Amino acid sequence: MPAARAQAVWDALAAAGVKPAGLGARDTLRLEAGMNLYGQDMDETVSPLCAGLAWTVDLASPRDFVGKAALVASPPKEQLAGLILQDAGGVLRAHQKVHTSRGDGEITSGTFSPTLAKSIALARLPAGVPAGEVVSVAVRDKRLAARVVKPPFARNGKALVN
Amino acid sequence: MNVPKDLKYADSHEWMRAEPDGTVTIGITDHAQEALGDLVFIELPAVGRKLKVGEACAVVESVKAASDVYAPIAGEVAAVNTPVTSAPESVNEDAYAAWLFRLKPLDAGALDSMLDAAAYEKLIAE
Repeated sequence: MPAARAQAVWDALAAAGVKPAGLGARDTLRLEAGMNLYGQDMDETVSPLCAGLAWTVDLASPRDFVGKAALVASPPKEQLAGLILQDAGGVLRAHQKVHTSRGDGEITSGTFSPTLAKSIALARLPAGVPAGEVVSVAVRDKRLAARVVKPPFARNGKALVN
Repeated sequence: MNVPKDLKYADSHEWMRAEPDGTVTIGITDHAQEALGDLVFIELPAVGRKLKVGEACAVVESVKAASDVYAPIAGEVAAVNTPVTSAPESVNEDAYAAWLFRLKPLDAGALDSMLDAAAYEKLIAE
C-alpha cells in the first residue's frame, strides 16, 4: 500500500468496527496460551526437546528424519516451563535469573496476565524441576517466589492454572 | 492531555504540589501514565528515606515497561500513598488524584525552579 493511503485505510477499518490490537496485546495472548515466540523463547540453537515442543517430534517412530540422531544422542538438559509470580513485587520479564532446586535458569518471556491477574512467564529451567515447585526469581534488587506450572496458562479467556 | 495549571512539573514527568504544611506531594503526570499504559505494579519509597535530587525512589511498572520515578527535589519522605500499590490502575484513571509520595523538602524554595504547566506542556509537545 502506498504510505500516503495508510491513514485512509486505517480510518476505514476503524469505521467498519475493526478493533486495533497491538504487539502488546498479541504478546499477552500468546504467552497466556503458552506459545513460544521465535527468537525470544527459542531459536535454531535450542532443541525442540528444550523448547516445550517435544510433542511435535516423534522419536518412537522407526522413520528416520533430519536431526533425529542428534536428538536421540543428547537427552534434554533443560526444559521450557511456565512460571506464575506468587509474591507482589514486580513483573516477570525476559532475562531475569531463576533459582531452582536443580540449578539456575532464566526467564525467556514474561508479562502481566490480565486473565490470571498475576505475572506469568516462560522460563528455561534445568530438566527435572517439577511442576508445583516454588522457585525464586531475581527481580531488580529482590528475590520473588514463583510457582512452576505446565503451560498453557489460559484458554478461551479462562485461567487453566492459578 | 491533562496538565493542571496549579501544579509544578519535572522534565522526568513527575508533578508536584506544595501543601499548606510545607510538604510537597508528588506523582507522575497524565502524559507519563498514558505513555506507560496500564499500570500493574507500583513500589513506593520508605517513609523517612532521605532523597537527593534525581534519585530513583519509586517504580511504576506497566504491561509494557518498568520505569523509575525520580525525586524531582531533595527531601525526606514524609508520607506515601499506600492504597495505590494495591490499585495501580488508579494512576491511569486519575494521575493527579493518585499521588505517590510526599516529601519534606530540604530547600523550601525548591519548587520555584520547576517547570510550570505551560513549560511542561511545551516539553511534551516536542
